[in-house]
Parts: sequence; C-alpha cells; structure tokens
Amino acid sequence: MIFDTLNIAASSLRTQQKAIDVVSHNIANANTAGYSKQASNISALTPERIGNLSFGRGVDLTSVSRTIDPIVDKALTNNGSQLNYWTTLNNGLYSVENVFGSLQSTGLASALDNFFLSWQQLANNPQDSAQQFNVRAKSESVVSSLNSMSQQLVSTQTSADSQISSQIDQANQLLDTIASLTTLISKQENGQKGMAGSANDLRDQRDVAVRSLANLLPVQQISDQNGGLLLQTTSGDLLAQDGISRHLARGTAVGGGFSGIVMAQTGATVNVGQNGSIGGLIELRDNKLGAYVQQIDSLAANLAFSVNQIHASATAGTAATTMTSGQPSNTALSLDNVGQATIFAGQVQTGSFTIHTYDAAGTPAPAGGTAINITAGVTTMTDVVNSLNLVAGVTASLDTSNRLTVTATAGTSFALSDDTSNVLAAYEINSFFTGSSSGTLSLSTAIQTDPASIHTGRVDPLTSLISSADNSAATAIMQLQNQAVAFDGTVSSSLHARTTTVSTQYGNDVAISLQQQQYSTAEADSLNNQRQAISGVNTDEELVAMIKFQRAYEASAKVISTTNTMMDSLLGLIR
Amino acid sequence: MRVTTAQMYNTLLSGVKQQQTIQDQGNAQIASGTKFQTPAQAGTAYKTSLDIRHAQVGLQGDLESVTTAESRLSSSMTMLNDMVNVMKRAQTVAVQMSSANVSATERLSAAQEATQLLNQVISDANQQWQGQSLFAGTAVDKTAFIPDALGNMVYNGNAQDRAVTTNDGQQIISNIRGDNPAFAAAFSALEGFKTALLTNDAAGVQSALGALTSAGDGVIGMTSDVGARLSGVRLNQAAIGDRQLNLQIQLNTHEAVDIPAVVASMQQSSIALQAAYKQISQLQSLSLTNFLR
Repeated sequence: MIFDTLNIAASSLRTQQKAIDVVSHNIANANTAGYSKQASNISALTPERIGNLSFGRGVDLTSVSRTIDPIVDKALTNNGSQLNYWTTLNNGLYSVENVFGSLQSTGLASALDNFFLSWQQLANNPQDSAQQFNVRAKSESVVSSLNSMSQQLVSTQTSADSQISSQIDQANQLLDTIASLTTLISKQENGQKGMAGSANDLRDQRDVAVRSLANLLPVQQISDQNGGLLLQTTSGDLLAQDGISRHLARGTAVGGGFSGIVMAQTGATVNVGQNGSIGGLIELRDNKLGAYVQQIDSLAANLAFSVNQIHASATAGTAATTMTSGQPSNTALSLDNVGQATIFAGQVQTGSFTIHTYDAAGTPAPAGGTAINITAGVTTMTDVVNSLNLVAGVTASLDTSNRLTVTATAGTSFALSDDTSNVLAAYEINSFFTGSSSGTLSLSTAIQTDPASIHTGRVDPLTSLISSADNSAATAIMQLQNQAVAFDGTVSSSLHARTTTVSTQYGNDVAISLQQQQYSTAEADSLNNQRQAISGVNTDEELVAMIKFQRAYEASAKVISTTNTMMDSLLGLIR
Repeated sequence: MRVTTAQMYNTLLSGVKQQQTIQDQGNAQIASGTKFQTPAQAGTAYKTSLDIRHAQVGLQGDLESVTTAESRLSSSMTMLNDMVNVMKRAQTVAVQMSSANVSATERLSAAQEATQLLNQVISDANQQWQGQSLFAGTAVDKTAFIPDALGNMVYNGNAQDRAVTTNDGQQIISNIRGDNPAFAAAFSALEGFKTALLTNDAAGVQSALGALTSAGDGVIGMTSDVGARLSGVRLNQAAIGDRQLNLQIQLNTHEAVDIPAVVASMQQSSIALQAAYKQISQLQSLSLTNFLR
C-alpha cells in the first residue's frame, strides 16, 4: 500500500507539472491574436477496489481544451467582412478628398463660377482684349480642373484595381493555409482518438486564417467533428474543403472597363457584394469613383456642347479666313449617325447654317449669306463640302482624317451663323472647346493661339454685318450657367447644379461609409470584448491557477517525502 | 462578465482614440475658423456653401455689369447735358437775333457762334468713352455721325443697343442710340438757324427758334430718359450691395465655427484624455505579478 501512496503522489506531480505547462502556455500567448485560453481538464484515475473498499489511484490530465464561443466567433467573422468593406471604402474615398476641393479652394465649382463671370465681364466690354485674355485664362482653369479631376479619379480607380489583384493573391494564400491547417488538424486529432479538441493551437490558427479571409471577401463555413472544414463563397462556390483549396482569379475586362473576380477553375463569377475589403475596392472602383468620373464627364460634355452651340454660330469683331473642324467624320455615314466619332452626332438634326462672305473691303457679298442645308439621316460631310464649294469666296475640303477645312479665297473672309442643325457644334467647327469628356476637354487651337478668336457677337442675319460691340453671344454663354441642359442623355440639370451634385454625392458617400465604419468598429469592439471575456487570457487568473498547481505539486512532493520517511521507518524495523 | 487585462487596455485605448479624434477636429476647426472644410466633412453643408459662393460670384458679376452701365450712362448724360446747354444758348441767341432791330452784321457775327454751337453738338454726339463711340449703338468702332454728300450729319452707327445683362436675366440698356430723332432734330435746327443768320433772314431766325426749342426739348427728353435709367441703375447697385451683405452674413452664419463651444468641448475631451493616460499607466501596477515574490 505504501507504494500506492508513492504512485498517487507521483501522478499528482506529473499532472500538476502538465497543468503548470498549460498555465505557462496561456501566459505566453496572452497577447497572441486569435489565441483561445486553454484549460487543463484534470480528473481522478479509476479507483481500485480492494475488498469492500474503493481506493483512489491518483490523478491525470485527461485533456487540454480551448475555451471558445462559436456564435461569437462567427459574428466576429461576419463583422470583419463588414468592417473591412466600410474601412476600405472610407479610406479610398478619403484618398480622393483633394479632388473635390475645400472651402479655401473650391476647385471646379469656383473655376466654373469664374469662367462664367469672365464671360459676363467680356459681355460688358466685348472688344476689350484684356477681357478676352481673362476668358481664355478662366477657361483654361476649368479645363485644367476637369482634366486633373479625371486624371486623379482614374488613377485611383487603377490603383484600386491593382489592390484587388493583390488581395486576391492574399486570399489564395490564405485558402492554401486553411487547407493545410485542416489537414494537420485532422491528422493530429484523428491520431488521438477520444482526445477531441487537442489541436487547439492549430484550430486557433485556422480560425484566424478564416477571419483574415473573411476580411477580404465574405465566406460561409461549415465545420465537422473531425476537424474538417468546408468554406464557400456567399454564392455557393467552393473555396476550400478539408485539404483542398480552390483559387480565385481576375475575370475578363468588359468594354475596356475593369475586370471582376471569378473562380480560377470554373470561370464562374464571384459576387462579393458589400462585404470584405475586396468588395470595398470593387464598390470604390466601379460605383463610387466610376460614378464621379461619369458625372464630371457629363459636366464636361454638356459644358462643351452648350458653349460650342452658341460659339459656333457667333463671330468675333472680324470675319475669319480659315476654319478646321475638331472632329473627323465618316463620309459614308450621315452626319447624325451615332456611328460617327463625335459623341454629339445624335444632336445633329434637320436644319441649316449660314455662311456669310465678305470682300476685301469687308462688304458682305451677298448680304444675308448663303444657307447650307442639313437633312438628318441623309446629309454627309461630303455633301456639306460640296454645298460650301458652291459659295463664292470660300473653298471647302476634307483632310486625310476627314476633318472639314473651310478657307476664304485670297482677299476675302467669311463668318458662320444661325446653325439650327447643330452640325457646327457637333463637329467642333468654329468651336470654343474641343473634346467631350473631363479627360479630353480642351480649348480650341484657335483660341489657345489668339484670344481675339473668342466670339462675342452674331452676324446680322439680314445685312451680314458684324458689330464690334455686339455681346449677344457672350451674354448667351454667360446665361448658360443656370440653365438646365442635357446633351448626353443624362437628366437635364444646370452646370452649377452638376458641379455641386458631384461634391455633395461624394460628401454623402464619405458620411455614409464613415457612419457604417464607426458602427462596424463599435460592433467589432463589443464582439472582441465578448471574445476576450470568453477566450482571453487573464494573467491574474493564470497566476492564481499557477499558485494552486504549485501548492499541489509541493504537497505531493511532501507526500513522497513523508512516504519515504515511512519507508525508512519500515526498513528500520527489518534491520 | 469575465474581464481580461487586454480588455481593460483595449477599452482605455478606444477612449483615447475617441478623445484624440475630438482634439483633432477641434484643432482643425479653430485653425480654419470654419465648422467644416471639405465635402467629406459635411456633404450637404458644403453644397450650401458652394451655392452661396456661386450667388456671391454672380452678384459680383452683376455689380460689374451694372457699374459698366452706370459709367456708360453717366458719360452719355454728361454729353447730353452739354447738348442741352448748347441748345439753350442757341435759343437765347435766336431770341436776340429774331428782333427786327438786329443788323445784318450782327446776324453774321451770330452765325459764327451758331457754327460753333453746331460743331459742339456734333462733337458731343460723336463723343467716345474708353475709345468707343457713345451713340453709335454696338458699332462702337465707327464715328456715330458723319456728313453726307450734302454736308448734312447722318447717323453712321447701327440699330443695336448696347446692353449689359445680370444673372437673373435682367437686361439694362446702357446707351442712347444716335438714330434717336432728337439728334437729327438738333443738327437740323442748328443748321437752319446758322443758314438763317448767314442769309440775314429774320423770318428764318424766327422759324429756327421754334425748331431749336423743339429740338432742345427732344434733347432734354433724352437726358431725362438717361437720368431715369441712371436712377434705376443706381438703385440696382444699392440692391446688389445689400444682397452681397446679406449673403456674406449668411455665409458667415453657415460656415463660421463657434470657437468658445469648440474650446469647451476640447477642454472636456482633454481632461478625459489625461484621465485615460493616467489610468493606462496605473493598470500595470494593478497586477498580481507585482505582489508575487
């Protein structure tokens, strides 16, 4: 029996030592991300029955288990997807903050205000060359603002697209890690039948990997009792099962745009929705930055066409000697055919414009000019050239890229007016702007070269006379700022309203993303607190446990020492 | 609920972050003097700011337009006033020369003055402002009146008025056109008066007096018209000034930050921040580790 005492004490020494190992492991990992507190499960060994009595045989550490709450863990995984979606979106939106200006420099809004102010100032004194220079400078400022906004937004879109590729690589690595950890867990736990949950640290590592994956894109997970794990996208595509992982890849870009995400093996489209940082990047790239680019493109298109519409039918103080269109034309198609290169071809309608010619003395010949008729669906640029060549005093031709050039014969000059067909504005003949988007908008070459080419008045339709102080065209352009216009199929709205709308939409997008980010952060804090409360390591608790195990160890050692003394006493009887 | 050391640190850290955000926002508001600076901080309020500034720029343009009209009308007024004076002088001379007692020599001498008065009226009518003919319509590069083959002064400008436009679409005609019959009447009356004097035609002088009186009234009529328009323009200027002031007040109310409120909030936040820092430093001493030997 005395040896039983020794064996029981020895089992205690072993058990307390192992329990202190668990305590030490907990303390060592107190700050390890995703670590779950482990507990020693100690139980008495099966008792021995001797006669009518049952004698205990000591103690053993039966298992080491981790303390987790699957509901909290799942909520954390879902929260991670949401938080990363809104954080990525919010950060991305903040990265283009400077594009939309500030109160100290309101950017496009003030550039546009000053552009129209300069036209008003020019209308007050149409023949003042200083005001003409001012209009050119303010116009360049608008063009520069739009070009710069477009460049920065498109550049950020491209950057977001690159990040998507990089994060897909990260997701694929995580999928490989999860598959590999699942294999290890299965091996370890299946090798220790009846010791379920013994691969605690590997399970923690896998949980961390799954949460990291969920931070990138939303996933659904199904675990089994043997350590197996099935991961799939929210649309049901298998991502990982047990030891096998399936990779994500980039899809094919559609229509010159950006590509989406597909399953590498099947090519099936993966819809991440409003979840994960990849979802945030896609939302930022396509629906936020994409919308802003679309809006400023629309602003640029409407600004260009509405100003050109007036400018093309107007004139400076003197008649011109040559003009070249900014847009080429396909001579096989009618001028209003949407297959033409200019996006404003659809604006061309049945109507006419008038060309006035002047002799060397500036006398109109004939007074009232000559109408050039345009019929929608019929008239081509070749027809226009032929009609112009019938007018005495000018010759018209198409260059190698099918751009129209009108030239006055020596000693004469000409002017255009009263375009009811929109062909002049659509093909940028006698225009103020060239281009039709925020990235391509520019001042016409003639105005860049000489601000005196800015048209402020109109030719008298009856006499063909040009008045140097006629400000009717400048006034009409000045009044555009508060007129609702739509030449690109968008909802009719004023240019000022279009400018403020894009800023307001941006501001609201930031506000919503910030609010959602703060909400998700608060939820994450709460969930992390809950997880800490359940699975976190409290060093005080561990130290108290350590003292308990230490004391038990010391007591067991004392039992051995006492038993040894008893053995000595027993052996002394024999001597 | 079970609490771990990490939780305590995390809770305090979260509080520190919140207070630092308040401090950062407060600093930005105090530095700029405005409640917000970018659309990202306040989308709708930023739009209101842009709208107010848009209206301000519009008013600035309107004020410039109205001032241009005022300058142009004032210059016209000066010339027309001079013409009125000339016509009055011509009428006075005509009254004197219409007497039967006036000799031919005296009438010849008065004809010299009549010629000068006619030249003065022509000079007034062809007056330029900033290098532009005042009374030639929009053909400002042309002399408003030139002599025809018979030596009669004829209008050389066009029939288009010079107008400035405000952003609300209001058009202000800023000129008097030379094709107003009062100009031709003035030239004709003075020319007739001069001829009557040169030919010592007492009856003609008497007749010219009536024409001069009528033409003078016509010029006075134009002057009154310009004067009335000037009054309207000046009222417009004053109204724009008032609206500018109102917009500035509106903008200040909308954008300006309440500095005492921000400072009070920052002070409160600063105390919370200091308490959090103190608590974090104390946490390390509240561990069992410190009591184990």
